[in-house]
Amino acid sequence: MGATGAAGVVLLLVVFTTAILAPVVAPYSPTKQDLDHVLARPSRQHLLGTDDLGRDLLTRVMYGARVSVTAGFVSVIVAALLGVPLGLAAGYYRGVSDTVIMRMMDGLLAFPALVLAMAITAALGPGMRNVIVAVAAVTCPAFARLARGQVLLLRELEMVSAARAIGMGDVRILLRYMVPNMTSVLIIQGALSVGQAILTEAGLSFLGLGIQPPTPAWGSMIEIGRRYLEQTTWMSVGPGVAILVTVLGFNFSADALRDVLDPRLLRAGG
Amino acid sequence: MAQYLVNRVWGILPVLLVLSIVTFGVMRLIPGDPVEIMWGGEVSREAVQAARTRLGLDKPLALQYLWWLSRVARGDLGFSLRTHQPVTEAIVQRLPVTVELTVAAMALVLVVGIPLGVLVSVRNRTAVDTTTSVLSLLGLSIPSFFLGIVLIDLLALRLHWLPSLGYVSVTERVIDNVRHMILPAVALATGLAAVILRMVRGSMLEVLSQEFILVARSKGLRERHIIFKHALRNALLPVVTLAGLQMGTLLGGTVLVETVFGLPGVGRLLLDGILARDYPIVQGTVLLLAVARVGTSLIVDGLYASLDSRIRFE
Repeated sequence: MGATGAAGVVLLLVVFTTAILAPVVAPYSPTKQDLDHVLARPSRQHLLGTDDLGRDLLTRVMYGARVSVTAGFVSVIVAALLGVPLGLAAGYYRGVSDTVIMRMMDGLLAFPALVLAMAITAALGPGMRNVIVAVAAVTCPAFARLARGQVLLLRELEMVSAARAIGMGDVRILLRYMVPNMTSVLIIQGALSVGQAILTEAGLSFLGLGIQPPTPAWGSMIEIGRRYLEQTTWMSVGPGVAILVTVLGFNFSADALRDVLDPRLLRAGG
Repeated sequence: MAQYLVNRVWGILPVLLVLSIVTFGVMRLIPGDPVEIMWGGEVSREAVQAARTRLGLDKPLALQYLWWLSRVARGDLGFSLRTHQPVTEAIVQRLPVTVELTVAAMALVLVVGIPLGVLVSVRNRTAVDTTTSVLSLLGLSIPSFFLGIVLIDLLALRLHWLPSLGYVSVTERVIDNVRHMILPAVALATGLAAVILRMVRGSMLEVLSQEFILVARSKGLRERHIIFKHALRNALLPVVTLAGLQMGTLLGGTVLVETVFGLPGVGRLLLDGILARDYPIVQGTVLLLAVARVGTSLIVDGLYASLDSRIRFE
């Protein structure tokens, strides 16, 4: 693993540790208001300052890690659980099922991801659960396409023909020969998708369509900071850097995973 | 070539069908009756029923969809529940802002991403390569709306070099229009420029390792000629496809950037429509942005086919 891969792992460790230990290490409650100290600049009491309701920004950024990481991971897991079986079915059975499934996926991919996520949250309403549904819906086609592509490659291998010849069932062939051989590309896609999912969730929350206050979400914290930009610039910096660090961690890690799990790209110099 | 494009258009029809079903279906998931949302629930049940009949909302869902689709095909996207303005008219009014922002951002993406990608590929595994790769990953990871706020803070509020908010039409004052568009375009372009840079780098490295480059070098051709005339020309083919695919990211990003910079574009219209539960506006703008993306990918396919004769004759 190169330097960037190691940096990615360190960044993610910091984010995960913060998310897990937020209730223990955060200096204040994320919802505790101190109306005597609103829009305070960074100080010894409040290292990142306070927001428009006097809430400690460092505390809220720490708790925000829980929200973002949870939304990112859960939505990608849901997307993979939906997309991979669809891609497997499309690639393995081909024919009508392939056409129907992949045209559906192409239809979803035709939407700009954020726009579709906005439409879904508009229909379902804001909140963590609906944000996860929206982000999973826009992430799912990538997994379906990837799984289908892998099946099309793997189904030509001799081991699959042999398994078919001895009468092995389709589900068993898929689970025993196909899925284990595509795990590495799915993991790389997963790492990239979590970063993208966190960006989409933050975008939705920034627009007021995602996770709602008083729950500390990085996107909505940046939006509140934007309103007070002429008075204080600090409010958006903490959550903005937190998103940057987290997504960077996932991108670095995905690059490192690609180098480790798919050495063909290394040889090509990519 | 013409046959190839006809096949592509034919292939896109099912995608447009799914796209229209999703757009129609998602809007029907909005809780509450559209007529009651329109009138705020302050009218009699009979009046609501009459309006439902008039709007065809009492028909089965499949019939409602076909009716909606036939109107959409004629360019009729209905009326805004809030302002009663035709949705098509509202979109047409705001479209120039979004088109200008997207085109400016794409131009920046290509002007920055391609030369930097070439530079790092010829300086492979040097400090320039490492630094640019890390910077491109930073660009890829920073949310456009946060970058927009940082740009406003630094270049508009502190240094007073550029305006922070608002829009001036290009037909009013060209210079002011450009000044208002620089920061939004940079905020929107940064992420995609990073993607293109990485793609050009990877693609160039692959092409530079091929035998025809070795032959060109052994013939004594100048390195500059080899890179720009032979390698880049071949390396750009996959980049054209990627740039087309990434138009979706750019179009989605316009919603965020237009919100940060107070630009009156289609993205902002979509957000205002969602916040006001103005579903004809939401339906119309979502459909337009998705169709714009599909249309772009079709144009890119045509461009790709014109650049690579192997595709034309497939």
